[in-house]
Amino acid sequence: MARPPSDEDFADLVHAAWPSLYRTAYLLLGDAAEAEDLTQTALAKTYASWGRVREPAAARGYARTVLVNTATSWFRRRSWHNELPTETLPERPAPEVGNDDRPVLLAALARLAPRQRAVVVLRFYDDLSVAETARALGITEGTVKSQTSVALDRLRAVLGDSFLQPSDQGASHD
Amino acid sequence: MTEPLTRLLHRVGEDLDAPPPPATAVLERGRGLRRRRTAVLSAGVSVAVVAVLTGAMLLPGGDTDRAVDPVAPSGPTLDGVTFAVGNQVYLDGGEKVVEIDDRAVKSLYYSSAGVLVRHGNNTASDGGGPQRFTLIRPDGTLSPVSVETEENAHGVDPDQPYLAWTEVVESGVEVVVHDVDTDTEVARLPVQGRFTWSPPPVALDGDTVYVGGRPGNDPALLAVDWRTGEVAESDRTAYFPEPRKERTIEYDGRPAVVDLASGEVLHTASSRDSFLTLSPDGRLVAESGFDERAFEDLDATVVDLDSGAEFGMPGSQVGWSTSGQPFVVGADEVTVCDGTSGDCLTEELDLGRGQPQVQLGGRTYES
Repeated sequence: MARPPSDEDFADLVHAAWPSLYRTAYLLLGDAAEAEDLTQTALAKTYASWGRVREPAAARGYARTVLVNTATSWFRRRSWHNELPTETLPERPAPEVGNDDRPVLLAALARLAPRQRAVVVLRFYDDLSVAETARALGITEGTVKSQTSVALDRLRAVLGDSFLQPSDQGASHD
Repeated sequence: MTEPLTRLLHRVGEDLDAPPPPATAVLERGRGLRRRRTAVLSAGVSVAVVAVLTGAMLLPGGDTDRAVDPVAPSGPTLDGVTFAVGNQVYLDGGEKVVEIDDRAVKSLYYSSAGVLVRHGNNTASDGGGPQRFTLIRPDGTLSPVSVETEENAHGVDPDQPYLAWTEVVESGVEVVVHDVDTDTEVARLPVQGRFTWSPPPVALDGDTVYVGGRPGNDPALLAVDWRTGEVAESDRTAYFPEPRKERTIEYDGRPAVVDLASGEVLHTASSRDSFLTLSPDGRLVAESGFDERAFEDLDATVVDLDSGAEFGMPGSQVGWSTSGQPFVVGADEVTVCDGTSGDCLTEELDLGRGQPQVQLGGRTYES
């Protein structure tokens, strides 16, 4: 691209990327206001680096990386109100996920450590590959795999085995 | 195996009503961030020049808000994040790597003339053999410093170009102050008395060289004004002097940060076994603990000594950037946090295989 991207280009990015970034933020944070703030923050940080952008099409991925890094920073604050002890898992699985999936899923995600939650959301909601997730989080592919494994174990403990069974294999499959 | 999870996440995500994109608000926040970044990058330039440059940058965007807050927090940045692996010094979080002509870096001090590297045959301070020094100037050039010590604990004030230490002579102990910018000795002062260590360790804070600790139940610090030669016994006690900008750490029971002048306790560690590290500017303290059951270090907590605000770090060993921001280095990433907001920035890093021994900037590694 010959010229640096303009403010109009950035506005286009905001309109195009906002819905998916917001949904990712919501799944990471579980709160609408926090998700909106996180998405705004991530896009504002992206704008602060806008002069260095050479390919606006790649800026969407950059904004998502900023969003995840910012969320991880928020999680690290001790005052983060969603912080829950990940060791405290219920002895019995939560009720089966039904029509009103959102609270059950968000409660389960909230029990994951921040990086595990980010790995789950990026891989299984944003459909990123292991390599893409590693790049977005700035960690190794091995860490993505190990964090995914731990996260799925925790989700299985909270939501029940049947929750993670493929639909064509039945609930009895191990 | 994970197909149901993917389906569920998508179903929940698609059901979410995203609010309208606030493009104008985002643009305003982005411009604010850019202005603050510009102000910080131009810290060495006069305020008038910064205002002119910033105004010019904003003209094309038609923004009428020209206010520049030069003290606004800039957010976490890798600028000034300094650490070493072996004889390689990583500047600005690894953006630039400088090789020291020696086997290993022992510690990285911040001075007004640049990063002062203490190096030698290994990373050890106790029994580590000769200690040599090289100055990395702000432009990245290296200047050897003609000082060689052994078994010394040195002092550097980040606002000055001086290195201080003590030497044992026939008549007792001498305090030495060396200008590392001009590579000249600027003071050599005799100090009377017995000390727990020989030569006794020092810290440098302003014009005062703190020499510790005189033996006794309450090991005392001597406060030596290296410009006037005046020597006073400090009210503070410690075997090892650690004053940083009018604050120090004392170990009477649980470690605590204490105001040098008043003795006011500013922060007390949560455990007797905790380890405290003051930032070079004395504004923040990092507390690291140890889990005896798991036999592993606990992630550190950083506390703002003025506000009491605290936040966690993703690691136990905390270094300090040249601007006083805490950072940790892992095997494959470096994380720096803003000491005011607690916001953190993590960047990928390739330090080779395994977990290398890393010497973090802003820590003395004296023992």
